[in-house]
Amino acid sequence: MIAFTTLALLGIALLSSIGVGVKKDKLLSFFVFILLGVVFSQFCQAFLSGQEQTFSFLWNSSPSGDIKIDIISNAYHYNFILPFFIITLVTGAQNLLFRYEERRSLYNAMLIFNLAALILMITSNNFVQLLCALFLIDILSMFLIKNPQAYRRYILLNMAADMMIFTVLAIINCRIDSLDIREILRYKQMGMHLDFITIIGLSAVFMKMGFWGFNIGFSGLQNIRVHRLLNVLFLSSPVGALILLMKFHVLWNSSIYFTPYLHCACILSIAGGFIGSLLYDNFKKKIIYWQMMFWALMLELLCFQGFVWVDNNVYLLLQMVTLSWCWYLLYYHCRRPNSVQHWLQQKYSGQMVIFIALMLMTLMVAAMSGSLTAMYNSGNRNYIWFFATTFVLSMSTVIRQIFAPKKTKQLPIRSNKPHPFSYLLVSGLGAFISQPQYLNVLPVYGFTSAFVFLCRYSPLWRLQNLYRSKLLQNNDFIGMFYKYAFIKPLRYGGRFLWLLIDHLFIERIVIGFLLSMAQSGLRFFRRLHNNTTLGGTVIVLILVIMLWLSYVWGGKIENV
Amino acid sequence: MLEHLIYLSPLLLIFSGIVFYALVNFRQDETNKCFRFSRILLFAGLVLNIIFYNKPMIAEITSANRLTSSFVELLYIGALLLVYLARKWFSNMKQSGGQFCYMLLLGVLAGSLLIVSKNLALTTATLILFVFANYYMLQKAVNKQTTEIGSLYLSAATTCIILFMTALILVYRACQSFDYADISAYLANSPHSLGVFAIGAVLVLGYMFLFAAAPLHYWLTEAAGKMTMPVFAYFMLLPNIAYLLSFIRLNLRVLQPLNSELQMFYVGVAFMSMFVGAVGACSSQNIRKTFAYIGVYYIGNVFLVLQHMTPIAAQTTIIYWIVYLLAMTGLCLTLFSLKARGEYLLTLNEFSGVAYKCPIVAITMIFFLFSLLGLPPFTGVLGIFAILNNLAAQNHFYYLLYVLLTLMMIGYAYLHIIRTLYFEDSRNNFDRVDLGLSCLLIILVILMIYLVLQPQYLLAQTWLFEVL
Amino acid sequence: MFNLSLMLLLLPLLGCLFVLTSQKKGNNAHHVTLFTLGSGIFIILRLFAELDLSQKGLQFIHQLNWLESANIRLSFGFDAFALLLLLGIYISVLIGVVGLDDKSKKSKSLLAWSLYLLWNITGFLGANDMFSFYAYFAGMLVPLFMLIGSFSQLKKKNTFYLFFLFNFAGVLILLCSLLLVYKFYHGNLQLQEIALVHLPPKVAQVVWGGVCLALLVRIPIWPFHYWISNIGSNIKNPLVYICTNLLPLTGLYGFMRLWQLTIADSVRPYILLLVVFCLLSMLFIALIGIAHKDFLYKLFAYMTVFYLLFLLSEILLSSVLLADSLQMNIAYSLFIFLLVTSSLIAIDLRLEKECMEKNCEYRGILAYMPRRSKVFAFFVLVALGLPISSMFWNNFIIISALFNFNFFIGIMVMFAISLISVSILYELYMMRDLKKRATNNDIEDISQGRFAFFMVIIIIIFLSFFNPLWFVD
Repeated sequence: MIAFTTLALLGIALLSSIGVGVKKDKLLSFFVFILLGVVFSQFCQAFLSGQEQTFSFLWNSSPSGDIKIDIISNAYHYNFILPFFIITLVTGAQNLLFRYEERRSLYNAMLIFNLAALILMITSNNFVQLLCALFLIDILSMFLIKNPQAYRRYILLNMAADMMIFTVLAIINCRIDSLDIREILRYKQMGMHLDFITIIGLSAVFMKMGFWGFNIGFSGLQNIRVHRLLNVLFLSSPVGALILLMKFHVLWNSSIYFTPYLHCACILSIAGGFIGSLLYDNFKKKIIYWQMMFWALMLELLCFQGFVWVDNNVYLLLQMVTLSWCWYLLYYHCRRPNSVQHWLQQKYSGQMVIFIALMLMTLMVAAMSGSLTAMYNSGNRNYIWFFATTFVLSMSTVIRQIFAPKKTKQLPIRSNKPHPFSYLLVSGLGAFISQPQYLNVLPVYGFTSAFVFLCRYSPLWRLQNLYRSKLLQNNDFIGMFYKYAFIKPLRYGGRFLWLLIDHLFIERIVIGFLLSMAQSGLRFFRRLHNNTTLGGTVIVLILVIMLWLSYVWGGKIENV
Repeated sequence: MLEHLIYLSPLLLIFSGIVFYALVNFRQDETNKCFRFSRILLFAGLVLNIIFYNKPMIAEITSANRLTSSFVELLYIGALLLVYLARKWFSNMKQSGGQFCYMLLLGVLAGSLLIVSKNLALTTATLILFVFANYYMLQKAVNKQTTEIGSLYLSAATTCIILFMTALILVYRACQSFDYADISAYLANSPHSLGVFAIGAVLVLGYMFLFAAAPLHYWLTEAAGKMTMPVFAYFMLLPNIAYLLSFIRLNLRVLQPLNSELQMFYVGVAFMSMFVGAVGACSSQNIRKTFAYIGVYYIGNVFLVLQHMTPIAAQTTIIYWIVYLLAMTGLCLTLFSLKARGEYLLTLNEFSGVAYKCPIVAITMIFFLFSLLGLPPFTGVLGIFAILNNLAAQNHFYYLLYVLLTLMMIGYAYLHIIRTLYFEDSRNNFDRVDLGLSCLLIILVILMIYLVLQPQYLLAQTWLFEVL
Repeated sequence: MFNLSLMLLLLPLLGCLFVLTSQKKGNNAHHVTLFTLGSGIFIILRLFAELDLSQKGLQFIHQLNWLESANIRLSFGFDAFALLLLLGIYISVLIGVVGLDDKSKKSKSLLAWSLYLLWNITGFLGANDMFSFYAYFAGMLVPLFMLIGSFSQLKKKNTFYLFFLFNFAGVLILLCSLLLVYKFYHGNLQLQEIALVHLPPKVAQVVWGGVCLALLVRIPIWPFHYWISNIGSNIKNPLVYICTNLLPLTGLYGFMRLWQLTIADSVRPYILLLVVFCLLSMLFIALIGIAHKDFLYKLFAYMTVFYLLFLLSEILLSSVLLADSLQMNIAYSLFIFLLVTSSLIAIDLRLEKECMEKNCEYRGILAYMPRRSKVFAFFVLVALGLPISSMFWNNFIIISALFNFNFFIGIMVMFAISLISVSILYELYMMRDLKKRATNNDIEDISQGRFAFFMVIIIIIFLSFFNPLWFVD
């Protein structure tokens, strides 16, 4: 069934990418959404009925074995695909309801292609299929971001991460001499450099997920539209990285560095995300930092549950996405203020809408608390506590900063506010994924109350003074670290080498020496070569010497 | 007697022409007449040579076989070509070509005899004749202010001839014969002595001087820059046809017993000629001088191969030399073809941008230059192939390296010329290229291409071994 | 089939003659060139259709008795590897011809020399004997020299001379080496028989070391990269640039042909040195590529890194099992590599020229040219090895095999590739970045016709992703 879904998605995406006029675009995007809905319903039916099928297509062969396209339908894969399908579907619906894209159907096509690539990645049993899908997601992310200014670092970093993954897979393939992912455990027995591939592989995953220290690729994303940002954060490379980790943890886990490195990166990311979300004025940056915290938590949870994707992960992911969408609706409702400082000063009409959105956010926080409670165990409790505290504190502080103070400016309302159905859609989804069975527990009450309380009385709200600090706001310190630690040395190194070897050694020394030798030789030749007594004498002397030598050594020389 | 006279008829024809020239001094307005007359004589001589290709003129002192007659025929063809080219030059410059024709016929006469000679006295006589013809050509060719080149040539040539004649007398005193075979037998049977070595060395020195092999090249390279075009073409082509075969015969028939003694001298001359030729070609701005240096370079290769006086070496040399002569003929033709405002071009700068104005000449010039460089698929590859193969076969790997090195050096000179022709902007208003010359160039190119496609006509001449 | 292979060998030369004799008016020479290239591609495809892929060794053998007395019999033939490269070369030259501006289209000498070069390359790839291998190897120098000299703006003439002389030295070394083989065998050998000639060990070392050196001169390995990079940076004509960059391919092909047969055994003591040079050159050039701001130089660095990768693979992996299969992987990669680099060269050089003529900023220029931007971005992404062409998984297999051979080598190779890939990608961004550009200039986007042509190339590349020899099936 998943194979059918994938093919259907590819077909729909191709249909959606047909270039049509502006008027027909809406119709086409509607039609595409309907088709997508139909495919989703089929997918859900198959999921519920527990169909298991295997689709395998021999693509090509290589010295390391056949390259196959495997799409295996089983409950685990259904479960894994489901949240991404839902996100794509809801995004498609949002796209239909609220005109924020000039070419909706084209944007839909990108999303659907992306979903198909994710499915291919999730179901892959083959390195080549996995890499193809991963790279495809990266290419599509470029189209999703669209703005070259924004995707520069993102793409470059992703490219570097892809190269690292490529290296890791090439090393594994060379040892096990097989392209089959299921055989990677053989590497553990025979392979060397396990620690190396683990560190490289994990680093690539962190780069793609935008973990702290590796998040320079995400810093440019503050320049894109929020809906695109959310799609990149929850559907694109970070998800690819997650799938990658899920596929390779069995091998990487064997390295002694795996767990410490993962924990360290996750803790740093949660802490870094918390600090970043409070320090930076840019609203989109805050979203990026929250996302960083979330993915760090997700990895921690997966780590403690043996990297098995369970229902709670699905819920947690969808809850986080819904929470982000709440922010997104608020953001559009409040006339897209990029800077929280601007947000602070403005008065808004439609307080009811804001109230509903905030309520929905509270619900999502409660739902997340519930999901986390369900996943709580002795292993991960510290991490959950750490995340929950920092996350709630960070988000409530921002809400406090935005909505609590008195507003000074009344600005006109813009017409392109989100469609009322958008609120309904998000609310519906929020209700659907709330998992009521987990809501009625003490930690949920505690956290929700804390969230509500902090939304009004967060002690950290004064950090908003830092929003005026140009030093902090205008500088990307991690980016600067990368620039001065890696990029500049590489560039200067390259230039230095070019100057030293190409310019100085080859051009100046080697060529210069040859030329000066040639010129000196020619000068000497010309000087000797004139009609003078000296010239004549030299010639006669040369002749006599040559003859004498020939006579003396005549017959004695051997062939050289 | 009549039979001998008939066999001698080509020479007699040329000789009668020379006598006729000596008696009738052509005036300036009769240039066409004298060239027509020379052409008829040469053509008749060529036909007669073809008819009596295997008949020795005087069996005692000359030999006749396919190789000698081929070279004699080449000599006549070259002379005919020179007459054709010179006529154009003299008409263009409005000068009398009578004396040129006179000397040319004298050169052909001397050359024919030199090629067929198997007698050292005859060889010496023809060489003296050649020296005379060359000197007269030089005197006529070189501008008045530089007659010192002519004097230098004369003094050096006289020294060589005196030495040559001394060797002749010494040889005659020793073996009472001038015949190559007798002298060879004498040299073979003589003990290893300075006198015997000196005889051989002097003979070689004479040829070195005529060939303009380094370090006795100065007369040609210096004079070449100041010569008139027909004389330059004469020096580059005609004597070289005769000298080579004569020199090969001398080596194989006379000097072979002294091979081991002379070998190092040959190598020295070769190395020096190649170096001087390559460096000189690179340093010169005068195109004719450059070509003269190229000639010196090729002579160096000839000496390098002929260090082993064997038929294989001789065959290699002949192949190499024919390829060189063909390419050099082509280059001379291109020099005749290019004029700017009625003036023939002399310095390299004047050739700037020839490709834009005279594309056919430029492309053929490139063809000949790359041919000289030995790059495939140009004909020169056969020559280079022959030389390098010979050196490799003899295990002369260091010599091989030296050849490669000098070839690269001379390659620089070729590149410089090509660059001027093709890659620089045109500075001259070139005259229209003569149709006849264009046709000749194309025919020569076709001939050379044909030789590459059918190399057996050049490389696989098994009969060469028989006659060598 | 015999006739088809002969036709293929002679076609470019005939085309060259037709170009030379074509009328000056209009674009006759251009049309003749296009026709010649089109016919060549058709013949190659036809040969592919007749090719028995399961059979090892050359097929469609054609022999010519050149000089019987010296036992020199010329022999030509093609296998899938040679045909694939040849197809890539023909399409590359076609891209170069299509990329010419109106003035260059009328240049008979440009087109004639290009076809002449193509003739030599065709002969070289089809050469099955020592002598023709040498003749065509050397024969390429003349057209290349003329093309570079006539259609580049070289300021340093010495570099130009040295470029030629170095290559000429390589040619002479090859000649001497082959003459030594000739000395021991007394005849012209077929290439596959070379391994059967028993040379004394030291002689074998000299001979095959010489051959190796002659081939290496063509590949931009340090320090030979200097001439090629210097020449390349001064060429503004796409066709000439493409032709110049086919030179390393010929060296590489020579390695592919001879390495497994005999070179490897003879120069075994020096292999390590060669590998070290290869790796250092890769890293060095990748770093220089990062330091340069010029896209063309980055592209040169990219091409160099990949040529060296293929060379390294051939050197190191010739002894492994399934080496033939790996060689085909290299061929598939090279095919796409040729198409992509040629397309990028053609698009970029034209763009640079237009920018220079209009005196406008180069950065961000693609933001105003949707068609050019699309094709340019696609080709860059293919060049990076993303899974939109067969280059992706073939490179994966090649690099994987390198890792298998030596972990450290694999890491170095990947580092160099990553550096240069990121560098190229960054340049793409710079050219698309709207903010880097103050105003829109009057530079026009590529024409519909050219766009359609590049789309065909894109389709060819994309289809190769699914099956590199899709046109055979």
